[in-house]
Amino acid sequence: MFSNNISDYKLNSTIKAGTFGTVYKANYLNSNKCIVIKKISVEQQADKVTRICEDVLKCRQFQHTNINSLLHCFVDKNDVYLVFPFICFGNCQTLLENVFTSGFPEILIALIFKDIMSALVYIHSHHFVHGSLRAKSILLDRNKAILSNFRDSRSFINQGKRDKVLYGSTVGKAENLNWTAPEILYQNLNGYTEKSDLYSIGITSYEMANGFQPFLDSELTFMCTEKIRGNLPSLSDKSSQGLSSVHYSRDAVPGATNNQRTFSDDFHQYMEICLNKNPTCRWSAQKLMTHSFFKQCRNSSISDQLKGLNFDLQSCTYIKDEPLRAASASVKHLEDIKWCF
Amino acid sequence: MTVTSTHTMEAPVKAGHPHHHHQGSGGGGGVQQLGSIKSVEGAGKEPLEEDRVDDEMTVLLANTNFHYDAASEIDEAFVELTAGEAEEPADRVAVAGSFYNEPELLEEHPHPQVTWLDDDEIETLDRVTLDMGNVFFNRVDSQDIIYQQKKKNIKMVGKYIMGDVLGEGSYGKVKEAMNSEDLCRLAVKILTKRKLRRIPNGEQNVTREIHLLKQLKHPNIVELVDVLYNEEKQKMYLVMEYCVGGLQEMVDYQPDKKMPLFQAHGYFHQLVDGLEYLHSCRVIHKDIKPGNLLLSLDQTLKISDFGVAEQLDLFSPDDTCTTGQGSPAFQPPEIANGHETFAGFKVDIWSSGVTLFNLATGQYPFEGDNIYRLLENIGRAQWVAPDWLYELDPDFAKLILGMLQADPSARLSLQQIRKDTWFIASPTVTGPPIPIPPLKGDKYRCSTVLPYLEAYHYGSEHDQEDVYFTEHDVNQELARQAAAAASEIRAKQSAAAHAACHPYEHPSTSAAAAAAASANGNRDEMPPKKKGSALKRRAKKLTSCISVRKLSHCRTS
Repeated sequence: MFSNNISDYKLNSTIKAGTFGTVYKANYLNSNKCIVIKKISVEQQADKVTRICEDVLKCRQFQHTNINSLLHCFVDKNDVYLVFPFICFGNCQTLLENVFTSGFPEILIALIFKDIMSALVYIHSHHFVHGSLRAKSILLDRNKAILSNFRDSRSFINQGKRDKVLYGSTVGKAENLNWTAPEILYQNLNGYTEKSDLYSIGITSYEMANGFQPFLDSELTFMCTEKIRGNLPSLSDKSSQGLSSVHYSRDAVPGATNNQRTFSDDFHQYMEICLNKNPTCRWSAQKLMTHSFFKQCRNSSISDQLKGLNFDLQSCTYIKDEPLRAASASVKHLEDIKWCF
Repeated sequence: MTVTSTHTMEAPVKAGHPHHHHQGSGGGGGVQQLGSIKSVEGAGKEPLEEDRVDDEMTVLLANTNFHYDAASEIDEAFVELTAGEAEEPADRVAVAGSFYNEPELLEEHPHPQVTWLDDDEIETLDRVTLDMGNVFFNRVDSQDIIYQQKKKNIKMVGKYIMGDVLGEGSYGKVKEAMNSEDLCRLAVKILTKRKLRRIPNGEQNVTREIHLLKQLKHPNIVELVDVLYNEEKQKMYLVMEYCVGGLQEMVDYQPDKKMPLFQAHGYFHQLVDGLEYLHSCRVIHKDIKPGNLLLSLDQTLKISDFGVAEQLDLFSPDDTCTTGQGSPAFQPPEIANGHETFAGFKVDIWSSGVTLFNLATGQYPFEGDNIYRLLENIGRAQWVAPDWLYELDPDFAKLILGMLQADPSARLSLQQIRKDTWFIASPTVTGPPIPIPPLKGDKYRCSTVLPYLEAYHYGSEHDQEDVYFTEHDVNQELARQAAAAASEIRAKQSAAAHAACHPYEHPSTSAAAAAAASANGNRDEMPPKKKGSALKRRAKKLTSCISVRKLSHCRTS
């Protein structure tokens, strides 16, 4: 479907230039399809190649409507090119930073997590743990949410056998630690299971609802002991007014709006289930799909909600970013949203 | 109960003792030997004595006739003890040590007084008692030796938060740590210049070890993460990746001191992988033994302790070595016989053979009453695999025999081992693998840094009062635990009688037995002059079975 020649692709604009590679928005000239191309130079490091291979193999294993798919990959000269579909709204963290600065509306969160949950059920049934769930790993398309960033995912399958638990002697990337489940932070012989993803879902829900990540300003070690003690971050709405969410709230948060809104009891309960510090008591993704929090999704869809919000987004005065204003007006002209694969 | 003992008790060097703590020459000692605490036999050795000083507690001496002059010079530091009052309580502990007896001080301090000893002072005391040849006994009421539970004060070295002590060697301590920037668990080997000077080639060995570890990068080699220096304290910190346990403590925890063949097979595979890498880097480890093979959380074997390792010169024509400083029981005949030069790579093959044999059978191919007999036995003749080994697994016996060839040129090479029948085959899984034993009652071996963090972050919430307890309390607690353990044994034995066909359920019984024995028997051997350390350790490890475990390798034959 896609050719192996880079000259068949027109690289339009740089979305992200990281240390690992550069991400371009591109057009495939043969079909004029809008895609995303990730260009990675393999000239410098040898272990880079093995990592790319692992990533590609992992991506290829998953075939699910809510999982970011790798359309194609090829080598041209000294660069590896990975072709991904173009997803118009980019990742949720960027949206939180620029559009929904005090959090997504609850219904949209429910709709997004319903999609993410079905993706999770899928990868858990394939004996994988995602490992780095956060708003940054959730991409938002016009009509669905898409789970991406499988770089930290790990499989239970080890030498042909399925391990009962996974162990991490290194907890992972420092920037993801705020989303990490306590059983991973423990790094003990008890290990962790796919339930750790559900904890990260809980933290991500918090992030999406409040508009910022929990434990943002606290020390890492404090975050660790709080999680181990089971001191949960809570959604900031009317009910949490005056409660001890002081630790987690960011000064910049517009307090007035937070105190006005109310999140449903179902949402609060759903968060509590996700953030249970005991992984055996935490629900599985399968069971969580049946939670009453997702009832509100029945008569709605992401595209409906986004259409409804479009008007609001346009009228929002705090969108300073020109491309984002364009994004909110018309998804087709979205250019500069940061990407995370 | 009156207990008498002396700390200079001569301990015969037992044959086949693989514990690194006894090799005075091995600059590195074992790294992060979790829970494998020095044996009582080691009490005769100087550097070991000091290492026992532990910073878990502060000791408090309270006695009318008990005085410690903290201000005095090292040479003059003493504990003055006068005993012999008519109305001594029954519960007495004799304190052995070369203390001065200065009755006149009594008059200067007519009132009961309490003298706090901190770690340094205890260490000073130890030094005095060690350096002095003469030993005599003093009696101190066990009620009068008071300990204070040390508060968990957070301590940082660079960006690393320090935790509890994992193990100790002749060079210093190994502590657990956590990187405050990514919350990774780590192990930190702390080297003090003063201790290093006492070890022959100590500083040289450490420099070499660091140089070596910096080059090596392999999943089966323990990784050196960082090196820190503290000029002021004359300390060096080697930050290494965290290993949750070691093969030695795993087999030690088992009643029969061995692991199933299939499990040993898995570790041996990884050992060969690691050795192959080492040899490709021209590094000869020279001290392969279960005590130096550690495990990460996911059961990856990590070769550790490069204290006596040697890297061949880039231009050397072959692997000829001249020095061998490993543990006696794992030495090949060419070193036992004192050859001037020998083939280096084959030394590791031999040690790996002994290690594999030991892991799978719980025994050593060569034994001896003392180190000389042992080396004599190793060097005398070609080892012959016993019949029972062939009955266990003929292929296994063949491999061991190949690795234990007295003639280095006839000994298998790593390439030949890779082609070996037993090595290639996947042995049948005969039951559950033996686990990493619990550490201080924690079977998951949680990070010991976490309590420090909790104290740091929530310290004000429960600012508990100082906790004091006496030696008497410790003894009573030990007795209570021994009783509990004994009843547990009885329960287990009756249970075992019912289900005799399950051989894998024994471990806890052995632990209980060990705990009972440690409470009953071993206490007598604890040198009480180590008020600050040995007793403290005892106080700390009330529930452990370590005290007996450490005797396990000493066989008389």
